Amino acid sequence: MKKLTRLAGALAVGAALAVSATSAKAEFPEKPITMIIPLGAGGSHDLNARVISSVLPSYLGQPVIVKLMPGASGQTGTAAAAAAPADGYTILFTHNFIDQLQQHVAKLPYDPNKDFVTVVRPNTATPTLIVRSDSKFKSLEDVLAYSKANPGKLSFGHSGNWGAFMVPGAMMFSAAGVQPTLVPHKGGGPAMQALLAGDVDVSMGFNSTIDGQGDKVRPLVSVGNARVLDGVPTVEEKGITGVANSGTMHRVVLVRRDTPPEVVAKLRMAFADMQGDKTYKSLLKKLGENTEFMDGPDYEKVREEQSAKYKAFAASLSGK
Amino acid sequence: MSSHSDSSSARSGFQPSAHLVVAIISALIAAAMWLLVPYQVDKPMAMFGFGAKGLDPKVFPYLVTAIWFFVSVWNIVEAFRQQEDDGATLRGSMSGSVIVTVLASFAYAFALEPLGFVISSGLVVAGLSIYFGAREWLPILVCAVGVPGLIFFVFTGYLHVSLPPVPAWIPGV
Amino acid sequence: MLYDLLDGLAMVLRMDTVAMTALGLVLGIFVGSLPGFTTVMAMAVLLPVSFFLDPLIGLPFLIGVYKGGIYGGSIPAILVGIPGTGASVATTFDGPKLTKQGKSRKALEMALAASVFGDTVSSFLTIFLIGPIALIAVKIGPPELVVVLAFSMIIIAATTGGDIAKGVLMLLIGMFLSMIGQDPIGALNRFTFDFFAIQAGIDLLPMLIGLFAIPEILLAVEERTKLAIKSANLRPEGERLRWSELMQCRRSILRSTWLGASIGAVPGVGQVVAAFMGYAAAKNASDTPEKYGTGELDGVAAPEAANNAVNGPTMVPLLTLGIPGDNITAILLGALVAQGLRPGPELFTSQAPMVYALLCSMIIACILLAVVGYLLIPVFARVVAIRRAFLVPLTLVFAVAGTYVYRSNPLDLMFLMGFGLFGYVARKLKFDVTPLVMGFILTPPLEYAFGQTVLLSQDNVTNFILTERPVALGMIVIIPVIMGFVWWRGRHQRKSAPPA
Repeated sequence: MKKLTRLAGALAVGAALAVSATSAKAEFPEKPITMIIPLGAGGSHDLNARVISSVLPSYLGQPVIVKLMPGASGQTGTAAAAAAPADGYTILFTHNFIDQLQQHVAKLPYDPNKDFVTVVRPNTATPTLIVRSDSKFKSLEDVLAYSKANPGKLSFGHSGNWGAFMVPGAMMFSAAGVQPTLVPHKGGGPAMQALLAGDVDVSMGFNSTIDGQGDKVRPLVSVGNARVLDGVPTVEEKGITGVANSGTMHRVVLVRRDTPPEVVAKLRMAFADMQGDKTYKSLLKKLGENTEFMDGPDYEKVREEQSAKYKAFAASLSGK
Repeated sequence: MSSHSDSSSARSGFQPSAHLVVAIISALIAAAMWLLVPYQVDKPMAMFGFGAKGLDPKVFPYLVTAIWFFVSVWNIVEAFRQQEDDGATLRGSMSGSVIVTVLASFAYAFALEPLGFVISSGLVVAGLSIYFGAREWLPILVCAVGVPGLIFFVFTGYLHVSLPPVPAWIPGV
Repeated sequence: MLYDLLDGLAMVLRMDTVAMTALGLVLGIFVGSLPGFTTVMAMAVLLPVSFFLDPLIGLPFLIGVYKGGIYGGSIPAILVGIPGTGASVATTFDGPKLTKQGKSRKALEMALAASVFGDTVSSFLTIFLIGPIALIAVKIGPPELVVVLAFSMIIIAATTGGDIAKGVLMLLIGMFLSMIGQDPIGALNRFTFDFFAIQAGIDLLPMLIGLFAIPEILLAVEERTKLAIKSANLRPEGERLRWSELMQCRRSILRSTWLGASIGAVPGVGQVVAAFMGYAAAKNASDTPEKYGTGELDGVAAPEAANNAVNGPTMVPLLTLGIPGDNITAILLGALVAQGLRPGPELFTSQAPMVYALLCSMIIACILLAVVGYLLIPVFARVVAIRRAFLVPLTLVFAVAGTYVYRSNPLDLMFLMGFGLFGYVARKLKFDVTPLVMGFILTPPLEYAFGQTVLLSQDNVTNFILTERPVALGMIVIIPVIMGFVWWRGRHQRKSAPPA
């Protein structure tokens, strides 16, 4: 009984204190920051996150805890970040396909643009279309010609719906006016395996995976703004327009839009300062990632552009 | 089939075995789920104007619920055929201790996030260990506060995984 | 190849590598023994540590964590019936009973011995058969996987103890439960009844802990009279394992090792299935199958050897093709890549000694596991000395903590308790929940592979399999033949050997 009265008393006092506790903390950050990743373990996102979480603390002053929350194509993690308190202690590390594309193809319990604002965009990842070295397709033109002549027969193995390969691939093929059959796989690894085994005709890969395969694969074209592989043209160079920017994966760190501005500024500064860190740069380089940093306000504009592009893309997929 | 002279059943008529009850409930649920498939499965998106290709998400649900229904019926038949008592009974589960533990477990699950890990664990451990006969206050304190506290620190501090913290409205934290 | 192998071996036979491997093992065992804290999470958390270490130290360290974790999961499985990882579920069938009989130390040592044996042998196999195993990995595409998974489900449902009708029913319920949430291919909602939280589906871990650990707790509570009694034995953990007892289980261990290694070579099946298969195979091959589940040492040896034997071949697709077969190898891939090593055909041709060095470090880890594990067992075995009155609520706390850290989803806790209740009732009503778990685990990959097959075959599946997938065709023909043979031989044996 005594315990109960004490607890009740504590509750009363606590309630009063709780009101005052919502005032802005003196020095952000005072406790560890949680970085939610709406994807699974081991993927490129996870690796990037681990690099960030091991270097960022020295610029932020507090540890960064990585919380993997895969599920529902990224919605579980994103919803959790949207429901977290808007105090800057929970950030979301996601990519542009989950962030901007999904809202046009699924019913989401949150609004990506209303609920989240960009902290920074740490880097981008440009995928490249590949075929097996012994494939009959020697260039992108071969692939497109074959697919035009045989609609639905070209099999394109990707890493999962609305993932890093499917979106660029689908956008590129759609802009080129062909209709391949999209075969999903559980991630980049199995997709590569399927390509090597001959199960699918074409697939995609990032630089590091392509390098790792040596001369077993032949890259045809990269979906991005600039060349990433020697001798491999970009989509723009091949005459496929409007796809380069929205087809590239942008990794982005988001936080709730109603987070106090000074907190957001602190987060942005920590990330910006980290870009000069030697360890950070070398680790990312080893992972084969670039460090194409873009700060928050600039990326917000990109988000809007992409949203419009994706809306049109989604409409084209279902409307035709 | 053993000749089980069950006098009680002779008195009260047909005694449904646990197996039979389970099988019937299972058949009903399976049928309900089968009927719900068209309503509960979202329609796939059309790609490239082709219409949905590949495996329709309704196929496996239909298949599984249908087979489930037939297997339930099979079980109903088996339940009738087997008169032997294989010891399947819920007797013993209605004892106070079991019910208390079950209720405490559910309460614990509900209270975990609102009260935080340390507090809710503390309550459960203290409550259950006292209920089960522990009386000395030192071991109770160690187990109720010490162990959850230790777990909390190790998990969140060293292993960097999250457990519900003590909520903000409790002062002094 | 031999030169590369010897070069690789020389690279890892250094004090610091061995020391870090041992450290990794210790950490892995402790973390693995915390229920709910999966090996994947442990490795993910410790991954950054490997970034800053030399590759020949950092990678063996992670490999140590990996092996330690898989073994560590068996500790709470044996002591309190909570599977530390999915792979240890099958160990909960006989492990806790042995503990109740005062033989916890024997059980832990048996688990260690079986694990070490399975792991070491399969690691050797991997080193010498890396080429052929890689070929198998490439040949197994979606259609083959469909066949393997479908047959696995049939085998498990058929070999369940007791009534087959009940077993198949549980299998189907498990299959249905796995479909709640989003479908594996198109991520479309199924059976979510508009409840957002369930869109992520039912997770395996709360289900496992709920189905296997909570009933243990409730059954222990039922026998309330025993709760307040302190064990009269001075050494409640019992005596050590005897060599004769180990030898008695040698057939199961060998069989499980072979099974586990085969399953490891097939990407996409995994340790949980291997453990269950090992257990089922041992039970079926035994003269006294009814003893399984009551405290048979064999029932601990079989699953433990199997789930560790998966480790070796699992590394093959990673090392030869750069393709991770599961989450664990995905993390190892990350560790390798962060060190500037890109596994794949390139690495194999240009830096073969390095690849063999990694494989050798696996063997070193196995040997160290035996040592480290043996030293740690007395530490863990003491847990059973805790009074039951405390052990029950503390077990509950660990179960809940473990479930929560996995996804931070309070719904998981509801599932934990819900499945706990379900598992308890199932136990009392003599329904075996193993097929349920198997159906739950195997259906999503089965549906996914089937969906891929449909797409690959351009909607004409039968034609596709007949003309383009000889391996799948071969499997469809051969596996029923093998199964039929085994079943026939089992009937024949039982008929000729009069029941004891």
